[in-house]
Amino acid sequence: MKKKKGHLGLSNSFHYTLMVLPGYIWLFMFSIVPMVGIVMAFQDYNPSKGWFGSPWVGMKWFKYLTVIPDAKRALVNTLIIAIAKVILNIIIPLVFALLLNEVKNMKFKKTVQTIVYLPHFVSWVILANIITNILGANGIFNTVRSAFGATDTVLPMTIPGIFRQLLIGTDVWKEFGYNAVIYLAALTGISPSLYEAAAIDGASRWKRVWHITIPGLVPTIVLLTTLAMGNVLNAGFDQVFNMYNQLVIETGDIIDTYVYRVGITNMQFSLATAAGLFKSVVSFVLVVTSYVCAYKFADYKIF
Amino acid sequence: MKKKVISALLASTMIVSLVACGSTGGDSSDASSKGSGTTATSTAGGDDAATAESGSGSGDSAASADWIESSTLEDDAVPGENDDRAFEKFDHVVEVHYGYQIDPKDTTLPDGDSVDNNQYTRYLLDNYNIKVVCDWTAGNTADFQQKVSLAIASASLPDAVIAPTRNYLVQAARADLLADLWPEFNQYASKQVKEIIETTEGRAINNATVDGTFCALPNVSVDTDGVYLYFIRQDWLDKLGLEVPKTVDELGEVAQKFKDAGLSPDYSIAGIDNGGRTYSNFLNSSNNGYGFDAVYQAFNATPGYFLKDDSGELYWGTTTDEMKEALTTLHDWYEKGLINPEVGTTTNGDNANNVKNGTCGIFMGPWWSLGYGNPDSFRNDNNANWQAYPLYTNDGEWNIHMKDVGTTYTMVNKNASDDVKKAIVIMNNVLVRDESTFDTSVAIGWYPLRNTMAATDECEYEYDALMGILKGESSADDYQQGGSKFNGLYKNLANDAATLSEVISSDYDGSRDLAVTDMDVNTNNGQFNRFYALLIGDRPYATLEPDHKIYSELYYTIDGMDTYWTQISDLEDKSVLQFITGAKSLDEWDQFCTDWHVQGGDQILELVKDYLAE
Repeated sequence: MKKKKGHLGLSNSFHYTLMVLPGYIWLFMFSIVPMVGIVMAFQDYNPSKGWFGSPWVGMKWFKYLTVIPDAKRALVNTLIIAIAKVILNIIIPLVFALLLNEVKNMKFKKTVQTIVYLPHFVSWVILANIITNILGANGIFNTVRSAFGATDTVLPMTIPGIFRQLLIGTDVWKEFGYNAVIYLAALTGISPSLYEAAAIDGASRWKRVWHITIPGLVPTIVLLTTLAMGNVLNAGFDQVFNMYNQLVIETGDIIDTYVYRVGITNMQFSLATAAGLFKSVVSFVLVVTSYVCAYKFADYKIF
Repeated sequence: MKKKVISALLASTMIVSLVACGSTGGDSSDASSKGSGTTATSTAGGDDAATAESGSGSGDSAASADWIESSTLEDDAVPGENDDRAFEKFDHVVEVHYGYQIDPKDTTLPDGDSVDNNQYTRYLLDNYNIKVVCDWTAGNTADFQQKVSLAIASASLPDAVIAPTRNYLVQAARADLLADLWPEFNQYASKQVKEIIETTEGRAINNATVDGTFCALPNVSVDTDGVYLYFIRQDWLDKLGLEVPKTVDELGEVAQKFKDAGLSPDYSIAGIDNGGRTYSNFLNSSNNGYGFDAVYQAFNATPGYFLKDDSGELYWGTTTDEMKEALTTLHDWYEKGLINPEVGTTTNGDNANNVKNGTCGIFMGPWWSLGYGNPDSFRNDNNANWQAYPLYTNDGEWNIHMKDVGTTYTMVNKNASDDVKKAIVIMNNVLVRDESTFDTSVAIGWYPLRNTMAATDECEYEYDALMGILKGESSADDYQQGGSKFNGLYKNLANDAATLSEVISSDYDGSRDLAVTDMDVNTNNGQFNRFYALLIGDRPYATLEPDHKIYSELYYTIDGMDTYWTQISDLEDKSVLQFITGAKSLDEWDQFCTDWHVQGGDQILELVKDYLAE
């Protein structure tokens, strides 16, 4: 097919390209330009000498990262927290969307949907304060416990053993409603005629979910999973930074909070850059792997 | 459509209500009271300037070689006299750009005024033609440190900004971002400022000098900012018929009795907030409110300091047996519910809530923690008789750990013009001279680039002077301008002497310790807080002689140390808190000490040893 040209000789789709332009500029400014800063990871960075004048130190900072226990601990925590979040943030919204889809009362359905997705819009700064207060010595949690006769005070925010679960749980609670909206949208895309045909053939409600709904949702699930893999090392700086404290740092400290403490608080710019770069490399490998897997096993191409 | 509107409304209501929850939960006047606490240190002094001159004259800083001594200068402590040098009005307007930390909870600034347009900035503009322009602000210490650190990293410092600790100064200086301030400072610093600098015997100048260049205005604060005491509700002691505790064990017993008697239903001893330390270390050697410093000192432990043993060997104050003993006791208190169970996890000043509302009767800190530090305690209960006492070792000795001369530094950009540099020096002169005449109902923190300067003995001097007036040995008039005891350096004293009778009842004759019942909380609340801090909070240091004064061998990080320090300070802060709460058993103490040494402590000790040997 021949492309139609406008009166200026430009493609008719030019205005669409123009609409994307701000996005490109944003991407260039905030994702491409800062890449130059990566050189700091291989230098002993000195702000006055800048990126081009600071002395090169090779892999010094990466070697140092491998020997300090804090960095290892941060990596392990990041992996555990992030992977749990990725998995639960797929399964729970899916289950919730399936359940909600079966509700026939539209008013009830819409109300529930609105309420559960609201926490998504509340910033972690505020939410962390609310959670801290709820779980504090005088918060609802301990007040209810003492009403049931408990004499001691339990402070979940200070127990290293459950802090990760707390992070994961609150994050899933915050996001599942929003993610469920995507599944609900995909559900409406499944043709009702399939359900009608199955019903006529005598398929039970469960069979219909299993053989029609789930296969219909697979592309969405694969898409969301693959996209989520890019965030597998983003365990959520906002959340952890606002919720952690010295007592739970062993299980709560993630790469991002570590980089923040090292880089911003202690001005070890090169070490922090090295940690950040390391994280990005691992993320990159995971994204590529998941992309290949999605294509191989689900025959799904994103790009 | 209607449904959409309802959903949107629902969403916005929920968000609004959540925001409201968040701000109520975090609301606290603690930040502002801490801010005003340090106001108290910003007074000038120096009756021993004569003795100090020799010290600074032979100061070992290269920069101080041609120091113009204060004794050679005209007396300019009185506005209008000899103003032509240190208080000269520019013949044209000089703009000074700066970044500044402000207190977002402050309510004293009148409507319409702002950080760079308020009574203080207008004073500078009208009298000295100095126009300040604030380029950016930060609302709390952590954010401010982050902004300064980013400004250094990106080489975009404004004309002047305050370095929160010496580390920032060194970073900026090594990055070649700072101006040589020596010519302007030496030439234009007022006599008062020079006298204060001289009382430090060269230490202030040395601290502000990096690689031979004097590149910042140093801050000089009172010694007592680093002297830690414990504070207790004397009225509760009297009610239960208890003696004032002297040792740690006695304090523990009293804390238990406060709890048992129902006076402290939640806990008896308040602690630190999230992000705080239970003791002040060599980098932040003063003003650690709500820490447990007094307890460590009573165990002969000086955590966070570089110390030398009898044989002259350098060691770290935290990894000692004495420290373990102290932590064992603190953990024991924690287990018994005497210490706030949320120590180290509360946020936004919530750690002080029970002190304010009168359900906690013991906490620790420096002198200003009473009065300036807990004004709400007295507003909520006019008879809350807080008193300050030293905590002794079992041998009956009182150890105090000595702070660095000052903590903060006013850094000046190397691209700043000579006029700007001069303006910054003059702004400092003006603050030192005129602070007492300002109407401080607008918090003094709004003074641009406020750099506190005070002679090290300022509070004790004022204590003696004010007690003299209360005892009838001298009169308030003696301390006014022209009076027999007037000394321009103690610039707050004239005002304090004049307002003493507004706060303290005429029945009080100084024959016994001052109590809250002798004071009027409401008439002049600002001065009430100041007198409470000076006359009760600083009483122990003003009247008792400590048995040991312990200095750190070093008060800042040196080359090569930062990377290790990042690692081990993290380890140490976390572990100490965990030992107290029991998250980590004290059986693991030896392991912690080993970790500390292996993960970088040994390298740091080696570096410091070499540095000190030079």
